[in-house]
Amino acid sequence: MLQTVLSGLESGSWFALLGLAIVVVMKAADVPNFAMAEIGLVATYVGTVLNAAGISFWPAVVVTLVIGTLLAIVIDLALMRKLAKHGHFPLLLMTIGLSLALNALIGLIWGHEPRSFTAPWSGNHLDVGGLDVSWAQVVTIVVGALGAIGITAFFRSPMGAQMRAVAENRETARLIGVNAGRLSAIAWGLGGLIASTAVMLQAQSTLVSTHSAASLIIYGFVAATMGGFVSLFGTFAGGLALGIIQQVVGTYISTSAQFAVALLAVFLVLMLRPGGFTKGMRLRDV
Amino acid sequence: MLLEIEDARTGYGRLEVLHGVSLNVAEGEIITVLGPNGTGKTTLMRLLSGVVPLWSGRVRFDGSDLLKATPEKRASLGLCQLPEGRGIFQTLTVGENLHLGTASRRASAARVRADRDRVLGVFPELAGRLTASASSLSGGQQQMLALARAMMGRPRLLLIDELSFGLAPRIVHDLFEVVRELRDDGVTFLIVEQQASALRVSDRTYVMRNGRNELDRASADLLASDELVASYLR
Amino acid sequence: MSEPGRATATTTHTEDPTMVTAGAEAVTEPSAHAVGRTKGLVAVVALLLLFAAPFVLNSYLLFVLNLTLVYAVATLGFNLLVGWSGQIGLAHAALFAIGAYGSAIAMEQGVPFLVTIPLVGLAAGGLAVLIGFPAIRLTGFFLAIATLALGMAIVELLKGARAVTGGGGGLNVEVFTLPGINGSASTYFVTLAVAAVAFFLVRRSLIGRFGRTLQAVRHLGQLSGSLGVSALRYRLIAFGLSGFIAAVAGSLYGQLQTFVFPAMFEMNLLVPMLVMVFVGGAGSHWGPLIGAAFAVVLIELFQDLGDLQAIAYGVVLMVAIAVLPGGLVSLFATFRDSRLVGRLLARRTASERSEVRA
Ligand SMILES: Nc1ncnc2c1ncn2[C@@H]1O[C@H](COP(=O)(O)OP(=O)(O)OP(=O)(O)O)[C@@H](O)[C@H]1O
Ligand SMILES: [Mg+2]
Repeated sequence: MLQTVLSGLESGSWFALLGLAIVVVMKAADVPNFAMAEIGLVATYVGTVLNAAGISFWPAVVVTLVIGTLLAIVIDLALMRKLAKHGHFPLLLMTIGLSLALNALIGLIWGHEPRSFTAPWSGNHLDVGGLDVSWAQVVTIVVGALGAIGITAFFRSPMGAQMRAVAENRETARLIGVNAGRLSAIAWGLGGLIASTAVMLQAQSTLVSTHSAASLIIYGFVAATMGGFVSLFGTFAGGLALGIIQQVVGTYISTSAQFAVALLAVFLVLMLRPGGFTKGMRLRDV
Repeated sequence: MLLEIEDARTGYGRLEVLHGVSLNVAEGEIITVLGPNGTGKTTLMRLLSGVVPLWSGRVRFDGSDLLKATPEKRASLGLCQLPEGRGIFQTLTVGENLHLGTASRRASAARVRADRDRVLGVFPELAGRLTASASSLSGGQQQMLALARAMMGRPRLLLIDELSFGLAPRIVHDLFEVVRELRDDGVTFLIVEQQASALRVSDRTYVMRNGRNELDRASADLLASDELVASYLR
Repeated sequence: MSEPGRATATTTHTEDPTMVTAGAEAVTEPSAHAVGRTKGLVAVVALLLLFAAPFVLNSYLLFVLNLTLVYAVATLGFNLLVGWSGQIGLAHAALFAIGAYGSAIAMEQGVPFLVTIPLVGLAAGGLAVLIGFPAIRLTGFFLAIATLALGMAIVELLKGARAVTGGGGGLNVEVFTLPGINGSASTYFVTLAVAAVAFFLVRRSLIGRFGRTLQAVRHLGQLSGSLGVSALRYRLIAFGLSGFIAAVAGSLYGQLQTFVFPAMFEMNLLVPMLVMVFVGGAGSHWGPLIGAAFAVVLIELFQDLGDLQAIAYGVVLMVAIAVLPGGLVSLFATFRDSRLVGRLLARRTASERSEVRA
């Protein structure tokens, strides 16, 4: 059981991070980004290619993160910016179209076979009181938690406060001099950074592919939904809870039911608690 | 002239709201624009801030054309707005709201702190509540916060959309006193109002009706005569 | 040339609900009778031509045309929900799947195909209302995500319920034939009849009070975010109707493909469906037909290209949105509003007005 929970916390951290990436963009730019997992996957694949070409691990990680960040910023500037005034529908469609195109493009360039991003610690294990803990799990859970704390801190900084102001009322924020366009690019960049981190963490522990990205985005949305798309804490906790539920379902029921359970979870949460689980619990929208 | 508007027309979609507004504001003045409900006062403010585009006519700030400048660009030029209904962000703390005022300018942390202390000196009521949620403030306090926030941007011209909005006369009176003090510090004001109470502090008043400005008088003259009442009744 | 040209130009004006702004009403409604008669004539001729298709087209082109009509019907329902009622419900591909599967399964139980059409329609319409009951209170992307998740869950269910659906392997569909006519022509005639009836009925109801109310509800929803009970009822009706139409189209799709499997109804269907609504123009009358034709041509052009087809879809969707946020139909509007055409039109409408008065 504890072993199951541990694996749940690990995959839950990926979901939570991707959910946070979605929420960050949602908060500042008001776009539900269905292409987030693919952005992370593109970056991670570039990392694996560099790694395979003999570039050592840490420089490859840095390049991966930079590429994820830049790719997201470019998408915001080139595709999203002009559509903002037309409302949600075109923006939503744009990210859906983008995710389809990026996913297929990755398949075209790198194929659909799963890949991994081997880290120096990959394959190493610890024995903690009979519990088999892999270093990959430790790294994922720690980075996930640090990431969540970092993002929360960011939203309390002056720039984060500006983003929350834009989220609350874009026009008023601009009237008093907040540069909403710049903030939206920053939020996209931050989202891309977090998403590449999530996919990279997944890849150093297991295999990733165009298929895993397609389900990861759904899990990310589940996590974001649990936080009502505003609460960072709710999203993080929701992601971890989803990871644990997934592992429990996979271990005790069937792995083929995992995806359906996650989907039903989104639907039920939205139906029953459209504001997310932490609504009413939070003091501020952080 | 700090601000010159010549025959400005604008609106929403196909609906023209301002049918040619012209007015001037000189450095150091307090100008009121008075007009009844729905006459286009807020639209004028939004035009000046660049939220709605100018259809025809001219808007010049400090001698240069504002045609293409975005709202944030205008704010960084010193053209700030205190929007209708205060525009306080309810999900932010008082301190965060205050700090937002500096978004339009580059300033060192030390200068921001100095400005904050100065502004809080003007509004001591806010000083003790910086970490409280802005939604916990009373209406008058929120308007003080909005004014304080605008001052943090060190504006040259501050556009105020209905300072008196939903406030008791005594509080409005105090706020106008603050406006007068700030003018002495070198800020120019363009204040849009429905209530004539603004006339006591302002130098000149434009009366606006149906998307046009009709009267331009020294505020004191307008207060003394019955022209104002007459123009409203027409 | 001038007659049909005028018909298109003037009708698009009244048809595009996004154009209904202050002052726009006053420009239109010239000699409604004459326009109506022309349009009726065009429709009858088009229908006759379509009826003759099986006798002139080879089997491949007939399949393409049939597929276009099936998608056009599906998009008609989708457009009703997304374009007219303004709700981004994304369970449409799954409801379409329910139609395809439901019809095939009912036929296995001995129900005649023509009877399965209304049956699956009612089942999916009912399900859509059930989904809609809580969902209509959600707005924007919350609704989108909830319905997307539910739609995916339905497809997962189709994969899981092996005993009934054949699971991921798929299900054979018994093909319905009209007496004396071969299978593909039969399928085509049924599709054509259903499409004609569906377009006729939906258009009639949208032109009337129902359409106006839906638009009003949509605009209200954008303005206030919270709606009264009667407005919610209209949203629910839109949900139910779109579900009904989706399943009807799905049953026709099953007949056309003769074999269905869950992977047909995933994102690879939902995205083209969105393309169809969007390219056709959300909230237009004939957009679904234009959108479906566009998408089918695209599908056929990029067939068997695998990733390239997906890229093409994604890119086309992105380009369409970037260039024409109002869809292809907005091109007509832009054209009409351009200066020269606008002046010509204004003159003509003016003269028509005086004719009507005289
Ligand atoms: N976003 C908008 N879209 C369409 N019309 C608008 C919009 N905002 C305002 N209007 C219209 O423009 C006109 C002027 O509105 P405006 O808000 O500028 O008036 P106002 O003088 O500020 O009124 P109030 O005293 O109520 O604040 C009104 O008739 C209003 O209906
Ligand atoms: Mg106003």
